[in-house]
Amino acid sequence: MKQMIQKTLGIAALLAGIAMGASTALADYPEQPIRLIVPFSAGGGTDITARIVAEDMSKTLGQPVLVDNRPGAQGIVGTKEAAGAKPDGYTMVFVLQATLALNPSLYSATNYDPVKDFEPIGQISESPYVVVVHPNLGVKTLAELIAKAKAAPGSINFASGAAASFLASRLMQQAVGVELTHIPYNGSGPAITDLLSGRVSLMLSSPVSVLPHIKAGKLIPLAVTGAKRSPSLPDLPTVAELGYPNFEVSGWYGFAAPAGTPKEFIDKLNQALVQALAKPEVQAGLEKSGVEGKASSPEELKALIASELTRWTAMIKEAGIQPE
Amino acid sequence: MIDGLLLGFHVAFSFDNLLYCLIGVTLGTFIGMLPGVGPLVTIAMLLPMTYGLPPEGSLIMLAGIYYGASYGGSSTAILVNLPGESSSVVTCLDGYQMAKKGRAGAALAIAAIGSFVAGCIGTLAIALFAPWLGRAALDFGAAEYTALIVMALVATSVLVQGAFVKGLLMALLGILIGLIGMDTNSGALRYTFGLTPLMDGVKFVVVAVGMFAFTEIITQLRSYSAQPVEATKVDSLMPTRTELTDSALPILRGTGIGMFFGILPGIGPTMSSFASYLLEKRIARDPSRFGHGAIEGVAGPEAANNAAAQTSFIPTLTLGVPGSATMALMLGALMIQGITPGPNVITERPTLFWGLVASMWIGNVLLVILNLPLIRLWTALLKVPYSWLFSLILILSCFGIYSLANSHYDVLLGAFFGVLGYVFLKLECPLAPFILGLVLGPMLEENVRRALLISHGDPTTFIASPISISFLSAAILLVIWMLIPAVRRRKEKIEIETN
Repeated sequence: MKQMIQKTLGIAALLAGIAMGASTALADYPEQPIRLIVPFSAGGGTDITARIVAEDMSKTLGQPVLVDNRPGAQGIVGTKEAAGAKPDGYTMVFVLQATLALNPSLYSATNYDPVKDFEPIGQISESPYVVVVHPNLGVKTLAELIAKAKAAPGSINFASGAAASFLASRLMQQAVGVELTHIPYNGSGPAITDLLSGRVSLMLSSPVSVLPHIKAGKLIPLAVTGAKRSPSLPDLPTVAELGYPNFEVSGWYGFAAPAGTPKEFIDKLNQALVQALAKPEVQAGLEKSGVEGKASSPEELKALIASELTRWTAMIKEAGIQPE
Repeated sequence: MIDGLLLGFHVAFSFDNLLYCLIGVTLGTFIGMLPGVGPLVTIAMLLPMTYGLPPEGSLIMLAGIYYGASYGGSSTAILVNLPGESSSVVTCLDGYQMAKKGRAGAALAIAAIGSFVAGCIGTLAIALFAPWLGRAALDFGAAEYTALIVMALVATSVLVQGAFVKGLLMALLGILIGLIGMDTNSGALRYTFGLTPLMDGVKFVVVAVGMFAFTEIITQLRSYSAQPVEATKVDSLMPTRTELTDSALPILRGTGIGMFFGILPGIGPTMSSFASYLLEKRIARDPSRFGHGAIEGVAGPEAANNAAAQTSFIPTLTLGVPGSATMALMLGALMIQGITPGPNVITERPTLFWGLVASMWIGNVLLVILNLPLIRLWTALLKVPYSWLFSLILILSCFGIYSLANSHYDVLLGAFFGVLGYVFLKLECPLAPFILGLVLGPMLEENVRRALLISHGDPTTFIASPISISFLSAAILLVIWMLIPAVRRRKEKIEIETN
């Protein structure tokens, strides 16, 4: 019911926006509720992150930012809907590595252009992976893992719950020069179950889902994949620190608007976004949901999207993965 | 343990937590009755509102919604053949037939009693065995799941006795439809015909609502009359003594089955209610009554799905491993509160763990108090004229399906399965094997492939653990058990013919 009200409000906002036309003065913006399309189901990790930021932006903007969940086809359905929405400043879309940098090379069903169809507003978070192994594997450091994997290529299994984690794992294998066998899962939950039982030996996971198991001694962390150490595991080195200086891979979330949204509106939305992420309670909320809050300018997000797209397109092509 | 339970009741009996529990189960019962609007959608929508609540209160309320929904789902299944929940699909088979015979009140009462008994035993089991059962879930890997599913599929052939070929073909069709969408292993798209909405596969709820609710409406339209559904035949509301004694054992067996399946991540209430139904049909003295209003077919599965709903909290809380999408949301709710479930949650957060366990039992009591007096009201629903009742069901079903993913394609797909279900009904093709194929086929494929990947292609992995060996042996025994009567009958036939 709530979703339906939100949707009705969203449509009303859209119609009102059309009626106003281009005459809307910047000083008055926003005059209507703003719709934030999240291309995944309500209640998931992406949805919670989006809602935390949207709620705070509502306060700054003086108009509600309404989350509209449009799940389907790995995020393609919702992202496409945003790409085709009216660029009047009253539609935003939750963008991430998977929808903008991976989908175009992975799925031929991707019917939007990650660069041309969107006007970036700003990044909201960054989420590096932690490399964890089961104690049965008998390795305690990244160097030991590499030595063991090189001794018998393909003998060590690694789990992944989504395309992004799988591709990050591949990238790490390339960087350190080892070959592991991929065991795919539908979601990280079942992947972690098999990791805990020792059926698979290694996984690149978000720190928050494996932290209690690391503390209980059921899993051993080897490294984090981000540019800097993780606040939740301050003693754990990064892969780069361990002798692979240029290696860095993290997931990221951000907000964007349909291409053609006036620059002034984008700037105003970016200001609200930056303000939200400057607040400790927003940062704390994001940390609990498993990501590190990180704001950026529209230009920085634009550059990030471009570099990520190039990087993963090349990586997917090199891995010989055909678009489906 | 006793200390823990005492602490739990102390927490759960606080005024605030009792209120959260009551809100949860009432809301759960209500949404359980709405087709398609499951606990998943409700919990997802309520999740942001729980941020401000204390962790105990928020979890107690969300848990109440979850098992309240499994109560509510059975009411509409029995009254109007509308599975509010995927786990109550099985209840439609005999519950609706009972309602048609004027025994709706009895079926509802047995469902409530069965759920209550299962809830009580399930809660006790959590209190006694949670830490140990949590570890048991880890013993189930791809190979063990494969063996379990093979056994379940073999057991299904019990359902298809009679029209064996038809049943088999329906199961195969179910498997094919289950394969629609993206393959987990390769990311390949199968049977999507280039349609983006089919990329995520066909949702089980869409098929269930289409094939049961929509099909029923089409069937009723054909024999349309202005008369209410079954107004004349509601004799007694309460179950008779025979009905109660006939249900006692099925409820206990169902509870056992439900507790077992609930612990296994990914299998959950739906599988457990099917398994219980199959077992009851198999051991019944007269299996032909099943599908025509057998009380055991309501009692067993209802107990099973409620027991499974309770025990599915075990892996979620003690391992941090969610068994279903709904459980993943519960996990999210806890993480928002800054609690990461894991092996130490019982010792680190005793008030949360024991408070939840105690509130489950209180919730079950509340549900019986809530549901038994309402039976008269629900059966009165059957006196509403067709034209009102069915338009209302149609609207609610469409709304429920739409709310799954805010997608109108799902509603159209539901309509398609409604028509398909009607065709199957006219051709006298059984729906149960189709539904089971849809659920189990893709799971079987996923687990066989994963087991072989993990073992680097060694097929002996399927007989490497005692768990897989026992399931596979049970499957073989089932085949032999089913063949023996057939052989004997043939022998008798031959003897008669030769005489």
